[in-house]
Amino acid sequence: MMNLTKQEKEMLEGKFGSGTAFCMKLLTELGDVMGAKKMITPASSHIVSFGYQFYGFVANCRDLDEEMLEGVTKFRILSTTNPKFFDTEDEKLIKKLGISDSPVEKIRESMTNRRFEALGAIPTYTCTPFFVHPTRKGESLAGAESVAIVMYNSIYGARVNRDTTPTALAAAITGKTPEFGMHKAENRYAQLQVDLSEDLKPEKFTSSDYSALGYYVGRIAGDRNVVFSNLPKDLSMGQLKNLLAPLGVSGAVMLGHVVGVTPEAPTLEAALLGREPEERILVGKGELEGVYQMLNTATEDKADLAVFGCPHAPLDEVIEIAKLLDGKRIRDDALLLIASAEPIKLFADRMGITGIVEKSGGLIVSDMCPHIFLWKQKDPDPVADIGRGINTIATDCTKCAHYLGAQGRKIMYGSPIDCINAVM
Amino acid sequence: MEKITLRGRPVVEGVVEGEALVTSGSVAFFGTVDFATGTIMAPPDHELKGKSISGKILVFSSEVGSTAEPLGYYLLKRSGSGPKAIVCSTPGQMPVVCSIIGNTAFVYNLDKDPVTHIKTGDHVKIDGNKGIVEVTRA
Repeated sequence: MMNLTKQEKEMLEGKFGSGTAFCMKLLTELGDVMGAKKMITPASSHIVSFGYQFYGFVANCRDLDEEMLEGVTKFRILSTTNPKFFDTEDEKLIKKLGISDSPVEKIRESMTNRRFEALGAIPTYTCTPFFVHPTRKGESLAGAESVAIVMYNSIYGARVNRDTTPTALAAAITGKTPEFGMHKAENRYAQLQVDLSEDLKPEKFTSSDYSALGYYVGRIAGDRNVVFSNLPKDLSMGQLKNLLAPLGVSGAVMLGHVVGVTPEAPTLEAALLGREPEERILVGKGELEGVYQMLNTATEDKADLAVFGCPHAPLDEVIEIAKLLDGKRIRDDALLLIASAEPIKLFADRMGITGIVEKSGGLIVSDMCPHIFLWKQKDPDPVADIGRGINTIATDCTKCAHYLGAQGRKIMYGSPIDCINAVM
Repeated sequence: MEKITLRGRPVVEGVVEGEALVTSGSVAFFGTVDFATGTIMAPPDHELKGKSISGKILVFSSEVGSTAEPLGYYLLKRSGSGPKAIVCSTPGQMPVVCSIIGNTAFVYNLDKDPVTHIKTGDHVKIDGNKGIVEVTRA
């Protein structure tokens, strides 16, 4: 059993209200099962609002949120927030999507985001909190969102488990998380070693190639830690995001070391903590082509929508796509979205990048999950109309292709320029 | 009639029994299972693609995908399309939190791998009070 402090026991006994007691019970039961000896105070938690996306079920989702938030007046630690369904204040986006006022108002009302903000959450509304809310090596965090977890662990050497959405919210409410797994240095060694074969030229990889590599490796890795032994040492943050994010989509990976790049992998030996890898795989051209084949389900060569920024694009990626769009014009009946975090969009606005994108007919959107808004909605539903007419989707992101493919949309998976050509 | 008993740590109390649906892979409740029907929609090469987990005792290897899995599980339960309970091989937060949030009997860290010892169609009884999973094969 875990050793709880006086305050943690009081939380459990209900001194701070039924919501806090519910959350502490969840964290204590989880900690007991996972072999944790005590709770720790994470520096922050990345929380997910169960906003509008499941309209047919939204009342049920809110039940769970409300049960956990009962009697809570303030989050006990800094909390960043995951994207909303979309930004209900973005008039350009709403116009492009052709949604009328009434569903927008319904979405606005149903979102729990405002409740989170009232409790002190940082309104980041991004799946890439690591780009806007940095941490440091060795710092323990809590939080959900598979992308945020693998990136915080890998690029900063921070410590965070694959907290589920309820445990992440419970951490924000109680200020506690049980100490096990990734929080302990001895569990951070790589179990799966990935070597790139000579027929691959990573220095020429597009974003979709990196994403395909991560997606392929995630399927094999399962929940094990990974080390990439021979990738280029000059990977950008955007490339790292594209490589590492899919590990938590096709797999349940929490930590992906890149030798010579990420902080806990100055050498291969360091990433392995001096052990032998449990498994070693060689990835070549054929494996990557297999991912392209599996994700490509489109039957036409034109797409109704091109999606970039799944997970949200950092500034360098936004600039790259804007360069490709400069002077081009996408079809009037097609959409092009670059999803990003609000501060990134602000910089793009100031730099004139947004203007280039909008001139081409595309949009930079913030606060928005660029795939969940296209999930199947229960009919009749005021937002079921959002996706009507969007049948084929072009994207350079495996996460987007994975989830929207599962939802029955036709996918064109390819490089940024291929995606742009598909909506021209 | 063949009987196999798997023992582990009781996590969520209660007794639930039903027909097993087994995969050596993973099942992601959030995003790749249809909330309304419980049908597995992806990935395209999933061995249970097109099958419904509704009303089954779902036996799988390990967690995968979104951290919103417990939310997916919770929604499936509420819509009546979820599995009766889950049994999982490898330790992870996801199955534990799913079972706590969904309030379904759950036994953790079994002494035998459920994926190799349980077959689709077996009758499975999960006793979350005693920490036992009983498998009966016709």
